Amino acid sequence: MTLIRNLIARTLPVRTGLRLILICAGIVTQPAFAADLDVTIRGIHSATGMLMIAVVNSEAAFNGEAPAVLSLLLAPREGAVSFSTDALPEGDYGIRVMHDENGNGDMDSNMVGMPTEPWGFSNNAMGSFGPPGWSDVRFTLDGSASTTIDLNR
Amino acid sequence: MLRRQFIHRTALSMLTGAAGSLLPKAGLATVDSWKSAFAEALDNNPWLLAFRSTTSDSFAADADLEGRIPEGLTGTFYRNGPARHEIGDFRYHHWFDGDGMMQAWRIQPDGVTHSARMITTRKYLAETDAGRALYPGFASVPPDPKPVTSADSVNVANISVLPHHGKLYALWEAGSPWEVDPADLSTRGLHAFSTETEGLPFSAHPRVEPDGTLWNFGYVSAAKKLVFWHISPKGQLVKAGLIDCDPIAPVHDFVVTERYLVMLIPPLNFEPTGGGSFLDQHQWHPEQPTRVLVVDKNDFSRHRFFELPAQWVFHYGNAWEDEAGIIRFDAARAPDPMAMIDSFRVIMRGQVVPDGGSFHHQYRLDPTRGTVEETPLLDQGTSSEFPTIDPRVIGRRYSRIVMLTRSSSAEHEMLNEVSSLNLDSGSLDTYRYPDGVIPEEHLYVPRRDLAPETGGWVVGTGLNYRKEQTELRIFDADRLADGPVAIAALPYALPMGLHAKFV
Repeated sequence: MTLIRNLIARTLPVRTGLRLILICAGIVTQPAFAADLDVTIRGIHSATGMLMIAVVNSEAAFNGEAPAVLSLLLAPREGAVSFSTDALPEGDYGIRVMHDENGNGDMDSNMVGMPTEPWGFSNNAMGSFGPPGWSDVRFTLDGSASTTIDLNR
Repeated sequence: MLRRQFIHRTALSMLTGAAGSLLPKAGLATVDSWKSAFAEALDNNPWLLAFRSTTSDSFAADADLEGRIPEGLTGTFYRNGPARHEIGDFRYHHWFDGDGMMQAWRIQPDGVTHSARMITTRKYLAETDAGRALYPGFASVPPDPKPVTSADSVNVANISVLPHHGKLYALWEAGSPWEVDPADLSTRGLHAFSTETEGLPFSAHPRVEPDGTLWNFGYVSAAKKLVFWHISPKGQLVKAGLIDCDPIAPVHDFVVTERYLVMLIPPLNFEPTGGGSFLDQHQWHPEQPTRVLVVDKNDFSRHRFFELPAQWVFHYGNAWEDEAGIIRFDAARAPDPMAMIDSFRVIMRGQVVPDGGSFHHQYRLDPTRGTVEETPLLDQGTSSEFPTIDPRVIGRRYSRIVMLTRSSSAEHEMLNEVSSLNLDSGSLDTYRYPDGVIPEEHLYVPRRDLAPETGGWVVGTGLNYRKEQTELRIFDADRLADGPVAIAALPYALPMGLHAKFV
């Protein structure tokens, strides 16, 4: 936590009009070729709990086998929220969003692993008979990109 | 390759349940001709009125009564079934896709009143608002479909009705129960028994024992698992458990004995290709066995599979264990699922494709020897469906099955008789409906003051397509052949429904 606090204190790589609960960035220094990423998350039905957002840059990271380049906890509000960052280098990314409505710090799911709280992915990827894969969620950040993610349940 | 990829994804975590996250590869660019084809066919075949889309989202009327309500018979006959088959220019491609409508026939000494109301599921509301079909269903894919995000996002609550602990639920089979107000039939919302089980499939055929203990199951196709439910008489979750089932099929019904839960798993295997509807993800394998799964009620992890030749079963009557430990049950046995795969699909565009029919059988499963024997219960050529029993003998020795049958030709292509079969004597008591009327599932309604399976009534509804009215008939349960003692007719015709319960 100390590292994270220092990191936030030194450079805040994310701009948002919302109360930012926590940032955990895998990128410590400002990259040489930084790009602008704007993300809007829609379909938020309650202001309770928190939005858990992970920006990943590899299939391994998407599958949870490597750390995310940027993890955010945002205080939700009904409707939509946005954030933007210029801390990421150009490249391919994917975004995973979960709305931890009951604020227990976890993505609740039932006995077979189906989420029981809202979720969404970049490209609004859905997958077919299962969660989407890296190829479904991947987008290229080249100079600047803006993306909208609709939450599902 | 696809299979390996699929299993890998399943192992990660399942985003969606039984219906899967169904993203059809390509919807049709424009609405197809099913709606106009059906309208044309209905002009030539009046009995297709059974599959006409509902003309209203609610109904209410005092029925016109002929005959007399028998003394002692009061209560409500609830029926659910697919009713809205069309929205905008789109007509569903399968009977089982229509949005559910709940009906209540309230039987009092002085008459019968009727009300009906569409169940306002998420899908129903979203599509009503949009004025067009938005989501893929069980076997239909509208133009430009939206992706399915969870089973409950396309749960149309259209198969059956469950009264339990003072509550009323409309049931689909691949998602959660929808709670419905028993008085005004308004929709209250999705019901979850616990966080752990939220969104899990709850089949349309729970079995409720005389003390109120409820057992049910559900299929989670994408995960190749069956979920089993044990609910207390007060509606509390006692336990839920998962059993691996590979291959898995869309299992519709099951039976219980004193100690076991029993179901057939036909080889209609879930083999997803990703394109088309949920039903399209299945392949029929007649060369494979139909497995019989027997599960210990006390411990769902204790279970065993037996085998039968390939066959399809929608519905069972009942089951019990005899002194020697033999599990006996009965079911409407079909050689294959072609009724569901073909007939109930093309009927929606007014085409009639006869399927092989289903024929009532009794099964004897010997757990010690590992064998299952099957014996026909009716004359060859007499087809049957919708078996029901005295609810007081669920899971116990029983002798009476009330069901719809067909032993002779009729003007229409549906079953045209109601029969009561005595398993002890083998006697069959049958009432043949007049041409022009298609019977729906009939219930055996016992007299509370008499011993189980004695006396009482048989109550059921039917569509009189000549008069364009839906009718309820009451029979003396011991004298079906004498015909109804009362007929209550509505001033309107409803789409043919599926399952009913009497409270």
